[in-house]
Amino acid sequence: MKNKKNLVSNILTYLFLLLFCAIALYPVINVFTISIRPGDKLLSTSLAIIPDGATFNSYVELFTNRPFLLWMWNSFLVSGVVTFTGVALASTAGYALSRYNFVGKKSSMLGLLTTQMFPATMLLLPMYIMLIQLQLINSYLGLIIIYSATALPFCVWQMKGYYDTIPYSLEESARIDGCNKWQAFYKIIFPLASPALVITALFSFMTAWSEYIVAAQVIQYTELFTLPLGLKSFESRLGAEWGLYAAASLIVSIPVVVLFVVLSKWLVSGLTLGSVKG
Amino acid sequence: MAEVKLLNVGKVYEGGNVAVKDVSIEIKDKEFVVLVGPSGCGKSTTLRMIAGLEEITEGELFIDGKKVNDVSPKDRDIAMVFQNYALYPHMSVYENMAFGLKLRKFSKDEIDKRVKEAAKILSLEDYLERKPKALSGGQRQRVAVGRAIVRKPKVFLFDEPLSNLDAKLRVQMRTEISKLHHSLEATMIYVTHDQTEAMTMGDRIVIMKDGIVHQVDTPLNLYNHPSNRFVAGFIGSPSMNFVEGKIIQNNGLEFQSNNKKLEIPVSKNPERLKNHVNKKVWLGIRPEDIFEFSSRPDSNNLNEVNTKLEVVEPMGNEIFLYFVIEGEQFTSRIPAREKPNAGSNINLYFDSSKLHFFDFETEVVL
Repeated sequence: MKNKKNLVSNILTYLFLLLFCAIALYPVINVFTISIRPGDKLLSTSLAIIPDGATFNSYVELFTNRPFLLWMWNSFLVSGVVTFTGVALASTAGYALSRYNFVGKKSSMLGLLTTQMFPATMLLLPMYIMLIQLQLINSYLGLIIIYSATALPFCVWQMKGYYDTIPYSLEESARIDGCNKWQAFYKIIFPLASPALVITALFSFMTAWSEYIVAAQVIQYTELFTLPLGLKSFESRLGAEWGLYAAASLIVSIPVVVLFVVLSKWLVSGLTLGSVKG
Repeated sequence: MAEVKLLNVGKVYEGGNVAVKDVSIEIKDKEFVVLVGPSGCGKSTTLRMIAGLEEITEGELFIDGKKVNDVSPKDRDIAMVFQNYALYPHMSVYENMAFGLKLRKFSKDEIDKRVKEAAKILSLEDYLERKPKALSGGQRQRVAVGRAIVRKPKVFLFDEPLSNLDAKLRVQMRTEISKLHHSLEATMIYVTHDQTEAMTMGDRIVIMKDGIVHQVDTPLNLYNHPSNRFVAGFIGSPSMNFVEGKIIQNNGLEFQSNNKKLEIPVSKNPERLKNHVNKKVWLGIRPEDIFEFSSRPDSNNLNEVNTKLEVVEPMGNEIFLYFVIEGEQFTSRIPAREKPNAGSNINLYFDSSKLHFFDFETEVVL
């Protein structure tokens, strides 16, 4: 009797989960379907996942006749530098804010928080003017500065919050064991903060990887396009190349998925378990 | 191994908070010194200044004859065991112990030899590959001790290392650390708030309160000759009984409590109190110097007091009697025998040769 009841509840649970999986996966599948439709059936309303006359032409087109690989490299370059900057600056700034007392500590933290209250679009104009004056229009440096500035406040705050949970006696112990302050940081505290570092890295990467609005203002030359700009260029006044659009969208999302899977192994809690009496 | 000398050392925090005031202690080579006092007395701050984790704002600190006020912790050649163990959670037990040696560029063989030696002493050989989270509290604290001894430092510092352990483990680790002190012949400075730890482990004890050193002496001297009322009350369990009163001249000097409930002649060194006749003083007497009828010693110094027992606590080998004299809680410690009843009246005998007197204002011993 009990087994039967369990079976029914299991089936219901799985049905419920399947339903939500379907809701989550449907758009992705749909995009995939569109990407393999032959050119003459792009606006078809058929629900078949594999359409009649399926073809990978869009993918081939993307990599052969369009500068897609170049855009991808551009995006990797920008996102990579933003990620590196984010991790390097947020991990050290967060550490300073967590461990040291200095004049202006409180106000600088509040200042960082305040920047988060303005929508990015509002900052577009002043940023654009600044970049013009710095002659950084059509340069990745301009883009990287803006992306880093957008991502850093959040990253610094969350790194600081994480460092706060690491007991101070670990550094003290390291310093007595023979570390100077810097060694105590990178040999002991830095490895222990890896869950927070992963979040910082992911957040910085995502900030740069999928950003369109700022990039559209700063970058105007096709050869400098990042992926979101490239994708948008498949759209013209007369219509959109939906096949290319869909194929590119899928490929763009792959690095993000891979990054999540690879980094998730570091996203574990309880790293400091056992170090001190809790 | 080395001696440690603090000369008028003080610590003032930003904002003027004084944590430690004018501390001067000379800790000899191979000595085990315990800093003890209630929480907030500055004992940990003093230890942390010796370690170099707190800046010394006044005075001088010498380790092995060298002034180290401005020397960083890593160059002071000290090792410290923290209350919360402070093990590196991402390293195995072996790596935890080897860390300090690696930083000091010891050869692999030497590191291996020292770590295995320490592991043997501390019975950690089977746990070398484990991470701290897979160890029990006692094992973690042993790793913390091991991390200190592999370095063979000049001075060992212990900051309340046993207070996170349960009672049984604490007693066990206490004897282990004492044994370690004998086998390593090292200078050790140990901070605790537990006077039993202080009494049992220390060659000498430094008693602190409110950032000031009240007395530095051997455990027995502290117990028998406390320099003031605080030390007298802090050392000993149950603690010394106190009652206020005055010294009067009456066929020799006599102590009289405020309401004359206690009138005891001063039978030992009455001259010391000559200048305090008709002045207020504190009388102190230890619980074991108050006897009941059947176990009282044969002595001319006993003074009978009739009182009502409030609480009776049988401890097995002894019994604690609690009673009140002139509003002050008194304790007597008597050998175990038939238990007297709480609420009953009983004659107790105060040994007048074991009295301590303290100035009423300054609380300094007379």
